[in-house]
Amino acid sequence: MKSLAPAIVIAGAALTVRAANACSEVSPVVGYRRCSTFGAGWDQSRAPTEPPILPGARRSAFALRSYRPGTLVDATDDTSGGGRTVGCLEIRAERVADAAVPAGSAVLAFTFGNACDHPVRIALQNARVVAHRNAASGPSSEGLTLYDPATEVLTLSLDGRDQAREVLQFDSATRGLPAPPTVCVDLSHVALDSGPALVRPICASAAGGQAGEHEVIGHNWVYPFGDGWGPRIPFFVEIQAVAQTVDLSQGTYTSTPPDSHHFTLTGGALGRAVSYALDLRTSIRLAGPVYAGLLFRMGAGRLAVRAPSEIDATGVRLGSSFLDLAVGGLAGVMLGRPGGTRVRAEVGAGLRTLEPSLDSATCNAQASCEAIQDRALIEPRLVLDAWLTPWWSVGASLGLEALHASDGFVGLSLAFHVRSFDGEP
Amino acid sequence: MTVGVGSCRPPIPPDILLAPPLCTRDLQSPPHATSELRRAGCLEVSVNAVRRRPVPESSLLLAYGFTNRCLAPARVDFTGVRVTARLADGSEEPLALFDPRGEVHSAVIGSGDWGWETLEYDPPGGTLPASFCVNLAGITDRVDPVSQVCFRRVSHRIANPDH
Repeated sequence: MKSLAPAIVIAGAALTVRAANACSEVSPVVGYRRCSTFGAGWDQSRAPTEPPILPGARRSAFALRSYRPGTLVDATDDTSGGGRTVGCLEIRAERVADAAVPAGSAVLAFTFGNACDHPVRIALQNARVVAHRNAASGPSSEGLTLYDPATEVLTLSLDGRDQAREVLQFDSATRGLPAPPTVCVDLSHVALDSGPALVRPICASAAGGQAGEHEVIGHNWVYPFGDGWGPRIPFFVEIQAVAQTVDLSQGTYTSTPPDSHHFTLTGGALGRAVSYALDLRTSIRLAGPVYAGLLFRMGAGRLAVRAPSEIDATGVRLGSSFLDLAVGGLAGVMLGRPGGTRVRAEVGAGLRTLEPSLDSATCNAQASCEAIQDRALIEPRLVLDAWLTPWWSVGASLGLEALHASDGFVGLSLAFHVRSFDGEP
Repeated sequence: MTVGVGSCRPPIPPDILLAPPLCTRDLQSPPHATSELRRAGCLEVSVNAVRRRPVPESSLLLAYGFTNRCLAPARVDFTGVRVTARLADGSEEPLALFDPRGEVHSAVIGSGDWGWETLEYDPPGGTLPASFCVNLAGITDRVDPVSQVCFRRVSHRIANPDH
């Protein structure tokens, strides 16, 4: 067999792997550090506290839950927060407690879901937070400032039907103040794709819970803003079971050097057969509906009734099966999404290797016991995807081999999409 | 003794003058920022008034460099450092150490070892006073009680240590 098998890479497994120790320090000042604590590097009285070398994923890439519209905004406001709809975005802002931030600051947990199937931009840095206090001179209001020492809170896209949570700290200009009795947040400018919106502010007078250990942006060691939902390559992996007809009689088969004996098997000794293969197709949506990727195939089948037959003068005889391997590239276009499905047209091109088995008992020590044919592969196919979730789909495909038009195939596939609906606009 | 600024120093060897192990340009110091060196028990401590985001301009930011000159480990306790504001009427008010996570604690530094920490101090009224003093008497054991460094503020910048 030629060395195609090593080329088959399970690329999807790499999706859950995060870069180890991705913490980047934003300030050397105690109270602002993210990646170390006071005494790091010199204090002998305590074991050094360092970021975990292998932080876990904030959520499993393979177990993403699609957002059910209305979930975050159905309930009425309570003392800790409330939900608002801004275009496709549904956002709940909740005041939470965190002993690690100054008392006069407010910590708000934003949970947000995309009720639409297409990505929408969200700019949490545009949330306007106001603290209302009762001073001796009367009620006062103060706009709070987002605490973002690493400038990591940026406008990002939330994929269609995705949901996420970020916890942000908003500071008063004056240190040492007590906790503000009431904090109000205006989300009118958070959803950039919905145009101007007038959204009633959400006001919270009590913390509804505790911020998680690694949640507050600017304080946590592990997860930067957008982790788990922010920028992701629109990469998808498709595993397909294929049944295809193969005309083995076309072309010639040769042994591989440096055997001392060479022979040529004319395809006429072989007939048509059916190959059963497993495809691995890894693709990236490049722009709009256009995508490209790589194709790997490993299959096998049984030779037709004409085998076994003697294939040359040495007495070597055919066996009963053959291998069918292919590797190449692919390009395609997503044609449309009718009724929760998606139609794709795709062309794969590369190299296909067919290798009928030989009866080793008839091979002598000096003769090659391989017969291999390499063919160019040009393979258009039409795929119908049905979405199980925004990140998982099943598909059915029909295709043919353009250079051997009598060969066609059908396939059933399961695909994982790193971005929901591949982030299609 | 004043430590010059404008150059990037290598990590501090234990036997030479101390300075914060950061490039001063990284610290965004004013060009006339100063540093003071004091002996405090086994420790040599440099105190450098600096500025750096995201610390508010109204707060005082002190970069400490320190080394243990003794053969035994020494205590380093920044909670024992007293930073006070000198008000116009001559009275003094303590500045509060900014330690939202309660991580500053009494620590131990090995013989010949060195370290550095940058700490923020917040004035009681939210306004940085014209001058302030750093009393290092409590930073370790057996300290000369006059181990004090004073700075005064010119406009919005910190300059010219008072001796």
